[in-house]
Amino acid sequence: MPVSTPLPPSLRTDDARRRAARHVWTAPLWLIVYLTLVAGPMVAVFVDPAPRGVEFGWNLSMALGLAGLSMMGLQFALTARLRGVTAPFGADLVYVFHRYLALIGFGLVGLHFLILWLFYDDALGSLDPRVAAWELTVARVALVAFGLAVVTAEFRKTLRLEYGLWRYLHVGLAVTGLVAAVAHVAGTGRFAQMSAGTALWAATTGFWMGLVLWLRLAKPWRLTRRPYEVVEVREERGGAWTLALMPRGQPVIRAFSPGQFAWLNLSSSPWVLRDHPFSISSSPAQLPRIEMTIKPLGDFTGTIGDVPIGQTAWLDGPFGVFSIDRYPDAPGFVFIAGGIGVTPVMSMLRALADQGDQRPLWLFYANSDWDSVAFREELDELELRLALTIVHIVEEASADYQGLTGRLDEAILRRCLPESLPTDVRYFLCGPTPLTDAAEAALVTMGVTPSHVRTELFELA
Amino acid sequence: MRRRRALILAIATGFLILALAVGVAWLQLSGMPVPQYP
Repeated sequence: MPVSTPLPPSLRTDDARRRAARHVWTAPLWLIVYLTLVAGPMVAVFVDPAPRGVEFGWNLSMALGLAGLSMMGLQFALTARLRGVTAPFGADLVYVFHRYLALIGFGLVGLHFLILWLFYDDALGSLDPRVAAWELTVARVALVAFGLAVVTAEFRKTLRLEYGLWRYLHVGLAVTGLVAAVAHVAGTGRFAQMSAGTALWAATTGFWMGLVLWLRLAKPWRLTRRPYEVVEVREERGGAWTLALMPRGQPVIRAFSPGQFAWLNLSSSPWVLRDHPFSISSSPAQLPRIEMTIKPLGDFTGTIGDVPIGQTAWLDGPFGVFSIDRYPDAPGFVFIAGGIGVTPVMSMLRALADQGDQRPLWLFYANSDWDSVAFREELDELELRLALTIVHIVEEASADYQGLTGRLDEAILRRCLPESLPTDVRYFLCGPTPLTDAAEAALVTMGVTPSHVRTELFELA
Repeated sequence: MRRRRALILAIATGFLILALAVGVAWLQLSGMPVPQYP
């Protein structure tokens, strides 16, 4: 197995410092860019000297419609996995932001319609598409498509929509809504026919369509030239499976920070919308080999143990900010993991061991029972190679178990962490939301600076 | 904490855009009449 030579720690540390410094100003910059792109078309249209509606309510409805459409168009940018955009925040957070902004964007579009329906009913014309103006019919199509996209995303599990099917449905509804809404603006004309408005809408629409084409066509096409192959499928404790992947040619992932994740697609082609985000569990020192440890939890992951050796796989990554590499000067790290949430922590521990790092480390590892503790034996070995203290907490203790039982709480953290812990120690939390919520609250109560606590959002939706 | 911060940021973004929409609509009070559709 080819093993790449890791960078000397000093070079890696300098690079991490530079990246951390850059993220400080790129995060607010991207927020300003986002607001400008949403509000820009609306403001530009309304400062144009061309005539407009005669009433505040009418103008407000138009402004809300334009802003809502801009937000819906920019939703494609948030999920386009543009590394420069996601790096300051973490791709997991950007997906959560995408979900919240969809609700707000749809709310603005809904308000646009509601104002017209309440105060300008005549302007809406007939609901019958045979007699209604086409530009108003497409507006209704857009409203329904956006509404269905939001509802099916929010209630996917309740509606028992299979993830793969939902992905196609979501993209289909979003693209339909966007195309119909752009046609509506072009058709109604009063805003788009103005000189500034026309240019702006052409540019904005081109940008949105470009994003759709980039994410759904250009990016998968690039991946087709860089396939991976499953070279090992290994069963872990707790019903989890580790998939080891090797590139058939040039690797997609040339470098990554331990703790980051990538999108894995085990379909026949990267065009198929069957990719899922999984943490990389291996160390960067093992590159170009990539390992991902996955627990069968449903849908795609249910048959992960049956993946044959030699199966083609597609990787897109790395993404995420859940990494020790972001804090090169930290005097130590505390990891809190629940169940399969330990996978990014394993990557970080393995990387620290490969580097011969001797900073103090603590791992609080919560599981349902002792037999389900994934990587149990390897963690014992890592405890010897690193300055690592492992605290196991299981809900149901068996006869051979010597550790703590119950649930992770403030009392356990206080008892197991030294009182003289440096304030600059960084905390990494990954696992089910109840566990990370409880751990976050406990750490804050204990006086830990909230910005020193980094939680991986285990479920993106 | 991160999820809560994202929610707060999204709500703040929504309110800011809503305020801007109210502002630009308020500033433009003359022009074409409201159209009538069949």
